[in-house]
Amino acid sequence: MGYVLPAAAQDPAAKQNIIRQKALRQQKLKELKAQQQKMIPLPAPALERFLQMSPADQERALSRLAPERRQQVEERLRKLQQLPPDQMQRLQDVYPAFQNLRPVRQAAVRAEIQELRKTRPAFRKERLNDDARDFSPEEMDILRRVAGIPE
Amino acid sequence: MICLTKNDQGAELLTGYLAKTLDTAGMAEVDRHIQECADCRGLVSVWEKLDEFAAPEVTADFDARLYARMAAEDARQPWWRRLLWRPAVPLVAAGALVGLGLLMVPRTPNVATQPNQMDIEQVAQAVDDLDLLTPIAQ
Repeated sequence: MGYVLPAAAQDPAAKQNIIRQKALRQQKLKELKAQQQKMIPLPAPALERFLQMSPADQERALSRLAPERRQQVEERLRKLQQLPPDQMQRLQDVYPAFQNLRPVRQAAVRAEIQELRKTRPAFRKERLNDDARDFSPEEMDILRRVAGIPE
Repeated sequence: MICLTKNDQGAELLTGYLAKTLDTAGMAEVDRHIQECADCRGLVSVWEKLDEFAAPEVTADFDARLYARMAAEDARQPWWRRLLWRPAVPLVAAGALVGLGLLMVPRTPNVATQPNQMDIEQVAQAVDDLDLLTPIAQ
């Protein structure tokens, strides 16, 4: 019994085209894989565990939040996952230092960062220097890194 | 600052504040919060009122009279009740200890096997903090 090849496979030009497209697809896959390997994990263990959960389990966990809170968390998470590697690296350095602070000092640093975000870039350094007496050297280091103001 | 009434460390902070054992920055932080938050101001004022309360002086033989009265109450109970009561004390105490022990054993949920039991609030807090700590755009 004869075996009939599709017309495209019989035409040498079409055959070449198929091979080229296959190679392109494979290269794209390789690039995607390499990019995923280069991605720096988020520095919060609880969050990393959450991200490793199946979509169904993530959904179940998120459903325990109030709708507005859930939306806010999902939006922030999406933003975090899209951070460029250099910013992610800075977060990797700052977050553990922040976690080491006592809750009352975390609250103080949070409030200062929120104020710095509201302050115009030209005045941030001045504000930070004015407030330096309220913060320990470790806290100032965190604030400087977040504000991008070298010592 | 997170309100003392909503903060996990609220009781600890308040105690430290009232005992003045917080560091200067901590004291200033709580001070600032109290200026802004009516709930916490109320809480602190109740504690301060308690400090102002002066307990009345007791008479010199107060203890002796109290113990005598307790002994008299004890003697007034029927004999069978006294017999029932005494052995029950260690038993009840042992039971309470076992119960307390069971309550206090730290439970470490296995996230891999119980993912839906994960503390989503902890995750949400981590997301908030990471978002806050993201470098500010220049």
